[in-house]
Amino acid sequence: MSANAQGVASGYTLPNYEPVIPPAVHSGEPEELSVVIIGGGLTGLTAAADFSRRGIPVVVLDDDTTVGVRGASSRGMVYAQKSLEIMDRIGVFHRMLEKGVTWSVGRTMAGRDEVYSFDRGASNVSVQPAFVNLQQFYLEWFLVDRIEELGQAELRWANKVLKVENAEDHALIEVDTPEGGYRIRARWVIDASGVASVSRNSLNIPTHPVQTADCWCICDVRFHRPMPTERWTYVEAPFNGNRAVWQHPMADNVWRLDYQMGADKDAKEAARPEVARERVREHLGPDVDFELVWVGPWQYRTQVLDEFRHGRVFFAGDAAHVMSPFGGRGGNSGIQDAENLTWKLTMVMLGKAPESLLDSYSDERREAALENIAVTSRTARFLAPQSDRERRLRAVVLELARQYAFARPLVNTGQLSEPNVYTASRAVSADGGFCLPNLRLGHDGHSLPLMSLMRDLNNRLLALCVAGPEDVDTDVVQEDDALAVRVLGGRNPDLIDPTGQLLALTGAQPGDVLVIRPDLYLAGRAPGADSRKVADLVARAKGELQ
Amino acid sequence: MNAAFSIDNPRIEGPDVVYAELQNVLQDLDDHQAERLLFRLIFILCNQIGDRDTVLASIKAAATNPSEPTQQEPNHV
Repeated sequence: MSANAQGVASGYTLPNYEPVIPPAVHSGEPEELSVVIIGGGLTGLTAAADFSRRGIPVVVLDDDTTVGVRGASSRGMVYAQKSLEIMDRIGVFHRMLEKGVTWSVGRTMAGRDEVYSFDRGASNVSVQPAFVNLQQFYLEWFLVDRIEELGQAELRWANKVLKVENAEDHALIEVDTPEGGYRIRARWVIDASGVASVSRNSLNIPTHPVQTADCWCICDVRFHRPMPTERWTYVEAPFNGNRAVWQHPMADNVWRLDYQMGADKDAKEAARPEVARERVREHLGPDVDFELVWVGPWQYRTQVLDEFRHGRVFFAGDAAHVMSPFGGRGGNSGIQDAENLTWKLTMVMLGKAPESLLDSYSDERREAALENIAVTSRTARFLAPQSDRERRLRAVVLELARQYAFARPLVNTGQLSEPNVYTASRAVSADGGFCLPNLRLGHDGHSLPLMSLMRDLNNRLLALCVAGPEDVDTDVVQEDDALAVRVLGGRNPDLIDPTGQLLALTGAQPGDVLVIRPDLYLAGRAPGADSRKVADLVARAKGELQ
Repeated sequence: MNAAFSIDNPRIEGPDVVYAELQNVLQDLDDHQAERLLFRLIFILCNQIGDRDTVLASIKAAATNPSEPTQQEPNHV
């Protein structure tokens, strides 16, 4: 059992990868590359694995030689359905399912009373479950394994980016290694290097940070007391001075216990193992033996870039946006950033779409970031009232929630991550912009998940011609290397919608054409009888309309 | 602003009864008790209205300084 800097047994042995010294270190010549990903964290590795699965070679630069954060056993840990669907397509979902904790029930407590609960399992139409909890470093580890298995990406450990400059047709990256520096001329760069992005500073991009005073302290704890595999949140926990507490199961019998400390607490003192143990003992009771796995104080802050694309450089994950962690929206949105950018850049690089498609990345993922920041900031303010009057306002909500069902959703302990709706993207029409779940279609007498269908279309959009009792005219939309065309339902279907969920979600009628993107977002719907509208929709989805 | 939102037209029949009932429930309360009751009332009414846009328009209207023209949007808090 190893010990980290704080003297707390971590119980984890993380992989250690060999530093990579590219030939350019010794040749002195700039290396020419198509796609460089800066940062081998959750977002960067997701992008690298997704590119690999799409057949696009990339290089990942990471300044460390392991996964996770050195000295910290875990950070993010809730993976929501959309992320699980993406990981299924990439090929690591089965490992997440095997290692992690699957759950769907969340309960919110005020004092010791339950005031609100939800069960996402009851309404689930996706192949994937609502949530899997898993320490972030495990997912990163699985992604590294998958990337190596796919053999398309080069992971350059101990390669630290010093500077990034934009030129007209490339970006110039200065990199340092244990044996010296080198330069890369990259056609495209994805900066997924997190909050302390070097390229963001190199390019003088403002981040608009806002720091809050509220202090929290995570205690990851291993114990064997039987507990329901549910998320419990306490607004006013009697065992934490009537402040908030989060309680989540994770892999290896470890629980994430996250304690609100208040604005006036000394963060270092709160994270001292002796102090943390006393806090956990208050929570679990004197008879429960436990082991501290990791303790870390944190404060939340928000920041977001004005644009997620700057010349040849795209920003994703925490390099683009930082939000309060409530609802697991940080890590899950980074995964969705990676997916959004990966399929678009792949289509552009393969000549299937114009470069203008790439501008929709910022349209969509910045809108998502702003919404996530707004949602999580409302939760943060509910949990940390900013005046006595706000505290009294919250007390009334808790009182009403105990008394009346209508008030229970007002108890804001975080809205868990869901795919955001894109209302201002140039690549979707007004009746599109929302994400379809990985629901089951039928094909040749078999069940075919929508995500599997899209994966097998090999980097193409899908036009679904919805048939009714009469055959549908598929000549209205032409199949090409950027667009597959399939008939849904009718007498001679390529696919069927056995439960009617796809039609219900999209509002499609017989004769309509649906255009679905590789990320399962609906680009839009058009009446098949109007060939101009269908052509416009397809052009919009490819980014040809501005 | 939501089409259903109406700030200029009286919509309650016999508003004096409503006003009197508010007077009755508030008359023996101190400031904190009165605030608590009014907060409760607000949340219950919001739920009864049921339309978020109408509720948000109502909050904006209530937050508008009486010395300002009513058409002016109040600052976001």
